[in-house]
Amino acid sequence: MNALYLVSALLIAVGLYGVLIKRNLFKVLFGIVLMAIGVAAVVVVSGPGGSPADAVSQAIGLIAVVGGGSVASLMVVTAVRLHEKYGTLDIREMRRLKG
Amino acid sequence: MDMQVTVLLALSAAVGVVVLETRQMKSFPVVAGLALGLFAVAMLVVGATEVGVGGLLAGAVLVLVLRWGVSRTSARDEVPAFSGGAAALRAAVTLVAFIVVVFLAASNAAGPASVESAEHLSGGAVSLVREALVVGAAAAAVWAMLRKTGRRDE
Repeated sequence: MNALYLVSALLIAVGLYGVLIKRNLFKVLFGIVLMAIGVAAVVVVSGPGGSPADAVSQAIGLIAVVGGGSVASLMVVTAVRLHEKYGTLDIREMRRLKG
Repeated sequence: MDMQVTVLLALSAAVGVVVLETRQMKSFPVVAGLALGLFAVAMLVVGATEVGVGGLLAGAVLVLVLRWGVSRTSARDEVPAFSGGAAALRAAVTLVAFIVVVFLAASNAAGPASVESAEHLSGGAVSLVREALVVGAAAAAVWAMLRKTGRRDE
């Protein structure tokens, strides 16, 4: 059912929207998490079908989800440290204050 | 079952939009956890137990870390929204084109999507333990970063 691909692509697109449009660092990193789970959804729903690669697809999906969540957790800590240094979570403001 | 999974994933995407548009950062971690939880439930419905449990684990850790992060920063998102204009139009066109390209590429490369018979492909308890270790290692890294920066403050 190709609607599954459509909603998975929608998940990735919502994440991409967060990364492209949002300026709050927490929201940018949540966009990355959404993209990771969208990729995992694409991989999982395209996998089952009887080929040897199918079991691998679930492992890849698992790595995408857990890896994305773990990286995001580390990024939250980095964001808090950046907030302590610059006093803002706005990525444009941080870029302006850098120089 | 396809329809149930489609609805759950669509709900997850909709909650994701709510998370990105919320101004109240206090509720941000909880709603973010809801989006991840819906995705995890969808994966459990598919029968992809590893991905589902991995999503629940990663979501739980992420919600806790986000709650800590929000409590250390600001309670409201005061960062202005996107300015709009030509750049907004370009972004909207880019996103729609992106969805179409992903849809066409996935449909042509992997054939019709299906969630049937995924259950027997799960790797079992060993995979879950492996992923729990990955999440544990990430949590340990977060703790180590906090401890190190805390010492530096002293």
